[in-house]
Amino acid sequence: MSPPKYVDLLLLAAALAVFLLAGLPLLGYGVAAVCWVVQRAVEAYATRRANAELRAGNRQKAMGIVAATTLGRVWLMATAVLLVGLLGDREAGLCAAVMVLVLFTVAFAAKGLTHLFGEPEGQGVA
Amino acid sequence: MSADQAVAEAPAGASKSGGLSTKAKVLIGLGVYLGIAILLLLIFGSGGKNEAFRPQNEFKLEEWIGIHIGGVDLSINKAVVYLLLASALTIGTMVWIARRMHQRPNRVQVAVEVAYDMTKNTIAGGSLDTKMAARWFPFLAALFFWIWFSNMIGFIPLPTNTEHTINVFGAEIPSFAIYAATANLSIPLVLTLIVWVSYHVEGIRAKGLFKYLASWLPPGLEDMNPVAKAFIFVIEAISHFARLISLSVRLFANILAGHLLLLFMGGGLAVLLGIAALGALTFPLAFFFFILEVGLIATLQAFIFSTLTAIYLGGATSASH
Repeated sequence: MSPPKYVDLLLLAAALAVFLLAGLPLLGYGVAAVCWVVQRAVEAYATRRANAELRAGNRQKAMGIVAATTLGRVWLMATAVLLVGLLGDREAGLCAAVMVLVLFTVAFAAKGLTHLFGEPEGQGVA
Repeated sequence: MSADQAVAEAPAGASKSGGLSTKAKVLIGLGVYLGIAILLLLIFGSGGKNEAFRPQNEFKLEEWIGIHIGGVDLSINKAVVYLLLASALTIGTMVWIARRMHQRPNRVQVAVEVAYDMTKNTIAGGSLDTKMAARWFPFLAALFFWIWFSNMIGFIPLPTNTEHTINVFGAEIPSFAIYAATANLSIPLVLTLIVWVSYHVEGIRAKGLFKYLASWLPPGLEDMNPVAKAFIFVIEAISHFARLISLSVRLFANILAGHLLLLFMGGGLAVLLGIAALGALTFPLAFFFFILEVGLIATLQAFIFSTLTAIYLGGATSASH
């Protein structure tokens, strides 16, 4: 029932074909793609670290890791999109911004659905 | 003071990890954040005030499908699409959950059951007697869930910005943007009008017209002279009309303010002032506001609207008002 875990990355791959066929600026795609993959890697690393800290009982540290990396990921993508628009051309910047927003919408919705349709904690079979 | 004492007295937040204390990490992070913003300011400077950018256009309703019947504009626009989306989500989720109730619920069932319980016991049960609560619970629950879904989808970027489009295979695809139907005053106002008319009708039905109007006067004025009573009645009547404004504007203004904050912090301010560096500086704030809006404001406003509705209904029908 839940959407695939990496639905955003599948979409990212599919978007390359759209960019190529539609002649959209590849600079916009490239920057959006690299940023998205990097932030996903940071997210995966942060989740592992935060889980390890939680298991060790360091709840505050786990929250700190999640908060800091989430903020950093958001900022990385925003700054990268801004730089594309400033250093490249405005069309590339717009394409990068839209690409990131599409990926965010899909990832946000997929994560929400995955979370909601999973089994709640503490409901395991006895 | 010995070295051991110094370690023992170190603040809790300054835990050592990887050679750097938490304080040092935060300071480095802030330094990089501000440093890059200053660097961008030095490189790109200011492009001057942007006269072409109109932030209010983000909330402008362009006609997507024109429907004009007898001089009445019933066209489909962005707000109408959001209304339909919120309605479809409310009906779809509730029907889907109702048909798939499990002994061992998944998270979505748990979340809906918690929300259902809250609307039944806290919103309806907290302000209405048993009979009224049973009669008005479906309306109050529908109101809560509809406003909640409407607010929540308002924070998911959707392809609704027809002002800025991207050409893909000749088709003009709208840019992704955020918008909420409740950020348009007409929608909260229509909801408020339904509530306003409903509670007056309930009050008149429960007490009769004159007794209901008399119940607007607070208790303890039985011995007051009629002129003073009339004056207080006028004040009470104004307060009832003021509810039209307070109930609708509270929801509208909160959601609009949230969207404006996201718009300006998410880059609108940088574009408007022509200072690109501001974008790098304000975007993390947009993220904070996003979390605040999604995590608190969207639910809180739905709760306040439906709770006040229940209070108005309860007040109109209660014996001692």
